[in-house]
Amino acid sequence: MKSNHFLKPLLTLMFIMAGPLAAETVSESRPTNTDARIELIAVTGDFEIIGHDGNSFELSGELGEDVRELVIDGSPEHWKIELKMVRNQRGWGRKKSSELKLLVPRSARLEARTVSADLELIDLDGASIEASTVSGDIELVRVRPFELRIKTVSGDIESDGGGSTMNRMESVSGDLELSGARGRVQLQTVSGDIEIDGTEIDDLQAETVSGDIEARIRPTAEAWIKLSAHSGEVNLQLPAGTELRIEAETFSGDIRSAFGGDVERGRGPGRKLRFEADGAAIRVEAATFSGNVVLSEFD
Amino acid sequence: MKIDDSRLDPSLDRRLAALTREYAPDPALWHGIEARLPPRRRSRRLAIAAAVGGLALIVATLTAQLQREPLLDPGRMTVDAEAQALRALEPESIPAAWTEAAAGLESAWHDNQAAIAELEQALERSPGNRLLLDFLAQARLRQARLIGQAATRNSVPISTERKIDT
Repeated sequence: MKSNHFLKPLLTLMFIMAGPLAAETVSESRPTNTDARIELIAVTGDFEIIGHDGNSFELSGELGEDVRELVIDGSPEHWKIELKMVRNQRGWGRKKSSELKLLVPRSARLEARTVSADLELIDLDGASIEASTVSGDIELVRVRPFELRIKTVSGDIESDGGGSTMNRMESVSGDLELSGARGRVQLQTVSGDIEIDGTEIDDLQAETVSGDIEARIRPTAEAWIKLSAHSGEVNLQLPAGTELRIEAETFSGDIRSAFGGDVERGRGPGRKLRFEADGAAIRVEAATFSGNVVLSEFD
Repeated sequence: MKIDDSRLDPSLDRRLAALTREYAPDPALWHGIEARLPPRRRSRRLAIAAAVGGLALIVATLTAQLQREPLLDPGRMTVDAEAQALRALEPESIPAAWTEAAAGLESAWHDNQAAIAELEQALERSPGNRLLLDFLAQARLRQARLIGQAATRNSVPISTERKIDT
């Protein structure tokens, strides 16, 4: 019985001492089809997902102390990589999170889901890219899939490049920044700002409540642009000489347009601008409650 | 040598048969024997008695230990392990992330709520204003979405289930 009294604290001490050593280096590789579907599921950490020309995925880096198990399951057509979290331990201070780099075939279809982890996606051009976090930030560099869907609650989204046919970015309180977008773009936040720079835009819909919208785009011939903010400003820049059908309206803000049209004041509060250039097929709708609406040109 | 039976006395045989064949010794004899026994036989008994007593003590101690710490019961151990596993299903990083996200949700909620209040006040001054009505409808839908997101705070779509395969 006496030995138990010594053994138990000793074992406990050994476990505590083993804690910081739990972080382990990872180097995993699997054969992967070039158009495979790859899922990455994690909670915390910092993840870099990079497209490469090989027919494999390669996962390297260090697993965090909060990871209980790395589970890799699937086949060359579909891999699922999941970091299972350790049970709720109360340690001293914050535990070290995972820092992993994942190389995937450039044309793979990627789905990355995390909670607080930051995601960085680089050089990907597969059929679809989907990424979501709760509080983590998402950054995309030279990511040009057919369809791009990014979602976060409080994190920011920054994208250099974008989907060639569909871009959907959604946040609650984070900022959205998209450059190099094409095709159809849907951007939605509540208290964040929206900034978009794109070419060959077919359809742009951007909505915020208290944030501002800054859009500088080259629309296609029959594009539809719809921008809405409550108290934020709406600034739309289009190539000089673009012929537009404009419907702009605000309750207590101002409207200015470099593309023609007169601002009308009704009998009550509110201002409107309705204008249609001859033969114009590009449609612009902008509305605010108290923010200003500014349509300007660039060369 | 050959014996002549005719010369034997039969009554002697009868008297011989009538003699007592068993005799209980005097009880004092045993006490004497006992007194002369070597001392090592006495210590062996004591050792056996001590062993039996010790075993009884161990059994009693173990029983008491089992009553104090019933974890050795396999059923109880399983229940405890499952309870621990259930508690472990929610890593501390998930609530931490949601705490961070909750601040964003709250900020967005207040912004949207302020927008609703402004729109309702504006509608009192300009009833039927189509722009205000459109904005108000959108703001109320947005509020419902925010409530939905806040309600699912604890149901993070990340699996934390235990799995053995690697």
